[in-house]
Amino acid sequence: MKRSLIAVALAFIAATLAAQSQIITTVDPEQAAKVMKIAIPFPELTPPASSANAAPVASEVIHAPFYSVLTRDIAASGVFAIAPIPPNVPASTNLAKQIGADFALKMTVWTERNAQTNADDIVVEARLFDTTGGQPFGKRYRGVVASLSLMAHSLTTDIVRAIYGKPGIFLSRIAFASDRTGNWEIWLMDWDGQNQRQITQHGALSILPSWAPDNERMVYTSFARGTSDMYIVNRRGGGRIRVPTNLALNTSATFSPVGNDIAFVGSVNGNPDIYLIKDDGTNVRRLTTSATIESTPEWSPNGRQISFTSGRSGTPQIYVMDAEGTNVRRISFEGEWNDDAAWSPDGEQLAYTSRVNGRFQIRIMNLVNGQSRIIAGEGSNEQPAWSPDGRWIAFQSNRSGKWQLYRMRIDGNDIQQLTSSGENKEPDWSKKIE
Amino acid sequence: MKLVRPAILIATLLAAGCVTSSDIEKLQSQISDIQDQVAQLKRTASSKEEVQNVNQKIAEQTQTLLKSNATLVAKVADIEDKMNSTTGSNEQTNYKLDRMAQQLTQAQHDVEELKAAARAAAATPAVAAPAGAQTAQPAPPPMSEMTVTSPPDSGTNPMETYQAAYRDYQKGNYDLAMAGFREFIEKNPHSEYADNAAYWVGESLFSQKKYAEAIQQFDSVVSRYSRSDKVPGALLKKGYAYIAVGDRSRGIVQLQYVVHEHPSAPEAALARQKLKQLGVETK
Repeated sequence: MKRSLIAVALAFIAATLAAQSQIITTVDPEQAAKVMKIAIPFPELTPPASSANAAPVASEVIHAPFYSVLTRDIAASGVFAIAPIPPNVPASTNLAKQIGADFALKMTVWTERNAQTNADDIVVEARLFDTTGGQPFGKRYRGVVASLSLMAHSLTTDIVRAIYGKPGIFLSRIAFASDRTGNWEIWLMDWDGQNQRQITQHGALSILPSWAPDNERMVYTSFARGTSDMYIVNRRGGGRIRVPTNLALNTSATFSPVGNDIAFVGSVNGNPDIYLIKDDGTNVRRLTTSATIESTPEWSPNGRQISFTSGRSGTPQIYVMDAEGTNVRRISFEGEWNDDAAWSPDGEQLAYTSRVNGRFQIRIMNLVNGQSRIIAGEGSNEQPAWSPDGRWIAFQSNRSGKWQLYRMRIDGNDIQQLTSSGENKEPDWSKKIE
Repeated sequence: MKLVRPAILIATLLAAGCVTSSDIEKLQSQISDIQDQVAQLKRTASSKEEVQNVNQKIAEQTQTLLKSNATLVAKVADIEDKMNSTTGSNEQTNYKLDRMAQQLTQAQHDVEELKAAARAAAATPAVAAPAGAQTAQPAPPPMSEMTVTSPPDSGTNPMETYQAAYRDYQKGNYDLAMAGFREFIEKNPHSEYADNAAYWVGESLFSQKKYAEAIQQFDSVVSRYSRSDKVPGALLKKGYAYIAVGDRSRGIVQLQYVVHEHPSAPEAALARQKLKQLGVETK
């Protein structure tokens, strides 16, 4: 499993087509609030005559893992809307004009024998046509059958970058904890809930994953040694190390977006406080000294502030301090219980779990003007995590009777359930847009 | 924002102190009563039976004492809880007051703008049409003459400048943030947010690793806003900045000053920790 993923990563070579001569026009993100229409006919399955060792691919092979993934990504992009198309008309400038769309995406898919692996690769050639006869984007993707969804996410990312000016988040990943194997372990999935894979195999309670800013490593808490310890692992499940501390608890670990500090909850004599430690286990510093419980630290995107939950005012509330532990101020004033704060990527907003009338809901607070709003949903909704572009929030909800992960836009729309096997909690979205 | 919390803390502590000390006094007098009784019995008792009785009595009394001691501990914990939630509801009240003050400032600002607009409108003579006359109205003056002149320092609401600067700080645009906070201080030197803005200028410099300038700025926070709740933080950050530029001895002196001047502030605990890390003993 692990090896095939690495193979996919290596085999994944995209070559920009020589045919691409058009200068890419970027669109001001503010202006692009107007959604553009795009026609996406099913890929053509005839291999180009010029390509040796090429053979046709069956449409069933690419339908679900490629075409469906691609169209779902495009529909969720917020940049494009998919235009209805007449049957059997090839994608071209004419098609776009004919149906009143802004773009038409022409794709050709075939298989090609890979001399090195002696297996069949899938090749996807994509060309985007606009209504003036121009071709603002063209690229070829190659990979094994198992990487078809990754190819679809890559293609959408590239098209959105070419037209919108900023890449989409279709290659981002969500780490989470799942008990589907009988133990709570750390898992990973693509942004759309596809491709769920197990990262840790401790056979012991392993929870609270948090991404490093490089999208390569994660820090989490596991009871693998019988005590609760922090571990760092890479996203393929390898390179695992324990971060040694002389403290108890060692939970809620989170990487600084700058430098190599980890903020976490440690405890001496049963009093949990926020601490910092270098990722090699050196230089432990205590940031809070209150006699009450402090928990769930979270770094601001500029790495200069840390939010946390404290019971110092009688009920759990959200506080923010400088990265040195100074300048502590209370942020949450509404709701009798507030916890699990997460910073938006622009540092302007905090999403957190807020108990309102006895039920936990996601609240979004604007740190600049202090206004907040609840995104109401059924059941308990907790542990919000921002997408790296700040447009989506992943969270856990027990609305189905079991804890599962969901994804929604920050206005609460377009809710999609991401997990269904076992119980799943504590989502953390990768940080960097790739 | 000024320190409100300590006053309430002290009041609560005093209240708490009364309850506990009187209870403890009661306990102590009970204990000395028993001691007196024991001494008396020792003097008078002759038979073993009586000694037995005394022992029994002591055991019972001890039990009662232990129980009331436990009650006391529970009471103290209860008071601590109450103190915490008092602090909490006080924070909430302050927050509401802050918001109301902000709304009031906004309303005053709006009123000023409206007044200015009204003055400007009054300045342009509105020609009343004579009754019955339907035509021959003078043509309205060209738009440029109707332009409302804004009052000298209107334009942006002060809090908008502060918020924009804070937004820039969060985005890591430290130069822009500093410019905004400085503008805010210049235009609103007596605002209750002026000390915060001055602290954020220092913090922006600190974030940019411009430690020498940060030290100067934190100094000015302390001297200009000596009663501000930002003072302990500014003093501590000054110490950190000295240590960051390698001026260990000044850093240590600064941290010791924090411990000495603000022993009960959380910053004192942070200073003690840093001193310990530097191998310096503190009391």
